[in-house]
This record gives sequence, C-alpha cells and structure tokens, in this order.
Amino acid sequence: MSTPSRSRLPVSTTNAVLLNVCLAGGVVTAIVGRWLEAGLLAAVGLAVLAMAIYARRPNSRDITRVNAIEYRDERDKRIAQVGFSVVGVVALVVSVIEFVAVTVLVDNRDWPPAVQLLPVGQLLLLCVVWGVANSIAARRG
Amino acid sequence: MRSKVRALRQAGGLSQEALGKALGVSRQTINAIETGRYDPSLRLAVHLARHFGRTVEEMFDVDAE
Repeated sequence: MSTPSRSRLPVSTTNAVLLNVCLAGGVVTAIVGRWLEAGLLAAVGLAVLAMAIYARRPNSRDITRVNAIEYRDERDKRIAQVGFSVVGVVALVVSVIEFVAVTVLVDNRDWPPAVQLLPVGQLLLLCVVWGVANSIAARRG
Repeated sequence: MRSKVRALRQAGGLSQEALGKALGVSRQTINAIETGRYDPSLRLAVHLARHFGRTVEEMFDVDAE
C-alpha cells in the first residue's frame, strides 16, 4: 500500500523549517529593537503553524493541504510541484527586475553596498538552487 | 485516463474515503482518478489493481483519453 507522506513532527519538515526561520528572524529583529518587524515575523510563524495543523485534519481539502505545504499523497505533491515551478519562474523574473531597479533607481550613497548586492545575491542563489534541484531530479529519474 | 475504479469501488460498497484510507491516499485523489482528472503513479495503480484483485490493464484503459 502507498504510505502517507507524513513526518513524525506535528507539521511537515518544510513547515518546521519555515516556522523556525520566522521565529529566528523574529528573535534577531527583536534583539536590534525592531519590535514591529519582530511581531510580524512571529505572527507569520504562528500563521504557518496554524495553517499546517488545520490542513492536517483528516477531512481537509486538497487545496488546503497544498497551500499549507502538508502533502498527504502523490497527487498533493504533484499539484505542489506545478505550483512551485510557477513560483520559481516568477521569483527569477522578479529578482532580475529587483536587481535592475536597485541598480538604476538607488543612489549609491543611499544604501550600503552589501544591501545593494542583495538582489543579485538572491538571483544567483535562486539559479544555484535551481541547478542543484534539476541535477538531483535528473539523477533520481 | 479512463478507469474501472468507480465501478469496482461501488460494487464493493466502498466509499471514496474508505478506499483512499485503504490505499493511503486522500478521498480527493480517488475522486480525481475516477473522473479521469488524475493519472495515478505506477505504484498506486498496482496497489489499486491488487486491492480489487485485478491487473492494472483491466483497471485502466490507457488508450482512451
């Protein structure tokens, strides 16, 4: 029989990572005194957790599970693959637009160089992740 | 892809929920297979066929769209 794709965690591994990143971001922003951003990140983290738990109900809808990244079977995963492939293309396009916008619109004195390099860093990271993901997918057949 | 899943399930008095549970998939996946909106993986197709004591070829008509 097919085994349901559920981890032993109360949420999927992806949601556990998202939750921890949000909470860690909240802690970092709180440490530097940005309370609004810290609260926002904590709220996003809690929303991720709440959505994941809600999606794990036995009678949840497929779209609810896919949106919450809580896949129950192969069809959920296939739907998510299509959705995330579109997100990937949009992320690449938006990153290029972001890079061009920062290069053209932002005066060099306004932002430190490290911040100006963030868009190109993001674009490069996305391309590297894309390449690695393609390589792994091709190897797995 | 056309299949005999619905006919066999109904003949066996099973709900989509019960069949999904027996196979480890969701009710929506069973519904999508029955209505031809989703082609199951080879693994799931074999499990479906085994569940009803049929062969995969008896269960699914790969030539029909």
